[in-house]
This record gives sequence, structure tokens and C-alpha cells, in this order.
Amino acid sequence: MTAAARTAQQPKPPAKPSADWYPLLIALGLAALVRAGIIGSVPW
Amino acid sequence: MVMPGTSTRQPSDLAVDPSGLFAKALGLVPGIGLLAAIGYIGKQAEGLLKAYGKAHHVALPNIEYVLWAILIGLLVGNVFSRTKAFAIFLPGINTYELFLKAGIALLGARFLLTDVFKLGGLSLVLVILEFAIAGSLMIWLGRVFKLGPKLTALLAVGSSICGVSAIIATQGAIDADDEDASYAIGAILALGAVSLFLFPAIGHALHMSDHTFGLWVGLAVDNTAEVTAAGNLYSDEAGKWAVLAKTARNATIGFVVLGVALYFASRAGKTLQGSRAKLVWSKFPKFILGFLIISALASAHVFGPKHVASLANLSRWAFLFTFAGVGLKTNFFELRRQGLRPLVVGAIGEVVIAGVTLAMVVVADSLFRL
Repeated sequence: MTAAARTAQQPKPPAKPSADWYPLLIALGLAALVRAGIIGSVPW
Repeated sequence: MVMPGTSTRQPSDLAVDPSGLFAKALGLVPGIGLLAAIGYIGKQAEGLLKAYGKAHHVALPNIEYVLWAILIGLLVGNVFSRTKAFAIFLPGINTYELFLKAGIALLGARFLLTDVFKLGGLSLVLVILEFAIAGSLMIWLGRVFKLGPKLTALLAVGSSICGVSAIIATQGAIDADDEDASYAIGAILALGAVSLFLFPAIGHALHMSDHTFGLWVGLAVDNTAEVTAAGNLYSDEAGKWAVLAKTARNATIGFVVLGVALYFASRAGKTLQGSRAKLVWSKFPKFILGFLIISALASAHVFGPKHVASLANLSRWAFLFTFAGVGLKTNFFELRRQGLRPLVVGAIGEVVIAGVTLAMVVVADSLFRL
């Protein structure tokens, strides 16, 4: 078996969530908490 | 600027392995604490200066929290960055881009889709023009000053699209050296810091409207943090338009990175692995989707006025952390040591781009009333 074939046969590692998504997920999570009233009025 | 001991990696590399999650999270605490402290001092400084001026009937310049945070960050970063103890803070400081992106996504609550559509048409044409002019100019300057092709490409991408994020994405796609990326990031951040002072002054001198000034900043300034800061230094409304124009530029990042990657791959006689669509998607900044989703929800009146106010304030808090990080990561001495040619190319390019985009928005405003 060639090295390329062996590489192709190896199981792929499970996909990890890309950190590119973290800011989006954080923002959506915060928006949901604000909408649900769990985060009340945010002062500035 | 990338300081000694730091890397050009994004916060992406943080906390991916669940087994080490707690240890990694703990490692972020000192740096995030420092961002919070500097940002909060900046916020207090703004209030104190205002209160002093009011109490003593003195007309003091309104220095907003964003500039205070950057200035204090610059001072702390440049004084302490070479000390061993500073390394403890670096992992947390490097999260400033995470705060920036989350803050921009949250800012979507203040943008109804009708506003986004308002930017469309004419402003989109201006964005495309800026992109073509800035990219071509930087490539020409890079050749004149005999910079390496990859450094030239990074400067061109950084100045035409979105500063640090685009440079980091392109660096990965074309396998450029860290040193090249540091040069390019340093030049973009140093020039962005200068723009914070110059752009609002020019805007006031020319009596530019909030919309026109915001559009100019969104087109001419390269790093999203500085765009947001420069726009907000002028006014809240200008900051809104600046971010909107910049968001349109940012949205092209995936396609530009693909183009640059294809160019360098063909030069090296290589073919890209995987599909082109996959590469574009992988380089597309996902926080822009967050901005659009939250903006769509706000447009559909999912959020009431109180919710919108809270989300806008959350984005301000996120920017507070961001601007402290921008200050901490800007190191002028390191930039000087790395050599002046990339900075000269960056400076000439940025001045020309600022002039051309200023002319573009002024002409567009006079012809079509922006």
C-alpha cells in the first residue's frame, strides 16, 4: 500500500468548531440573553 | 504591531482542546483584566475631563473613552512590553480581536436593514473603487520600493480590505513569513493610530457631515478597530456609517484572499487543495454574519428599544476592551527597528488613499447628496 493510500485510509479527526465562529456565537448568545430578560438593562 | 513574544495568531487558537480548557481560560484572566482596567480608566478619564471642564467653565477638548483607552494602552504596552512579567498578560491581550468582532456583531442591533440598504448602490461603488485603487497602488509602490512579493501582497490586502484580519487570513493562505506579516500589521496599526488624530481634525476643518465623514473613514482607514474609533470620535452617527462602509469592505475578504492565494499558488506551480468555494468560505469573517443576523432581528422588531439600548451598550463595553488591546499591541520602537521601507510604502499609500477617498466622498456628496 502506498503512503498516499495509507493516508487516505486514516480516519479523519472529528471536526472542531472553528474559532472564527466564537464572536458570532458570543454575540448571538448575549442578544438572546438580553431578549429573554436574563441580562437586564446594561448601563454605560 | 506585533510585539516580541506575541504571534500573529488570532484568538482562534485559544481554548480549542476541552481537556485544557480551564487552564487556558485561567491564562486569559490577567490580560483580559488588564484590558478591562485600561478601558475602564479610559472611560473614567473621559468623564473626569468633562466634569472638570464643566465645573471650572473651561472649554476642554472632548477626548472620548476610545482614545483614552488607546493612549493608556500605548503607554503601558511600550513601557512594560519588554519585561518578563508582561508575558503573563499576552494571552488575554490577544483576545482583543475577539471583543472587536463580538462588539461589531452586537452593533448590528443599531443597524436596521433599511440603513444597510441605504449604504448600497452608490456607497458600494465607492467601496469597489477604493478597493481597486488601494490594491493597485500598494502593488505598484511595493515594486518601486523593491519589497518582497508576499510583503507587498499583505500590504495591498491590508490597505484595500480590512487591516489585521485580512493580513492574518492572507498570511495563512500564501504561507508568508511571520516577519512579513509583522511588518504589514505594524505599518497598518501605526498608520491607523495616526489616522485617529488626523481624520476627525480634517473632518471638522472641512465641516463634513456625519454621513460623509463616516463613509470616508470606512473607506480610507484600514483596521476595523481604528475605523470604529475614528468614526466615534467624530460622532455616534459617523461611527455608525464608518462601521457600515467598513463592513462592506470586510465582506470581500474571502474572495480577495482566494485571489491572492490562487496567484501565489500559480506562481509556485502549485494547485490549491480543496474547492475554491470552500477556501472563500473558510476565509469569510463569520462575525459579519452575526452583524447581519442581529441587524435582521432588530429590523424585524424582535428587540424592543430597551433591548437595542442594552445591546448597543454591550458593544461599547466590548470596544472598550478592544481599544485597550490596540494600544497595548502597538509598539512604535519595534516598528522602527524592523526597518522603514514597509512603513514608507504604507504611509505613502495611506496618504494617497485617504486623499482619493476624500475626493470620492466629497464629489459623491455634492452630486448625489449622501
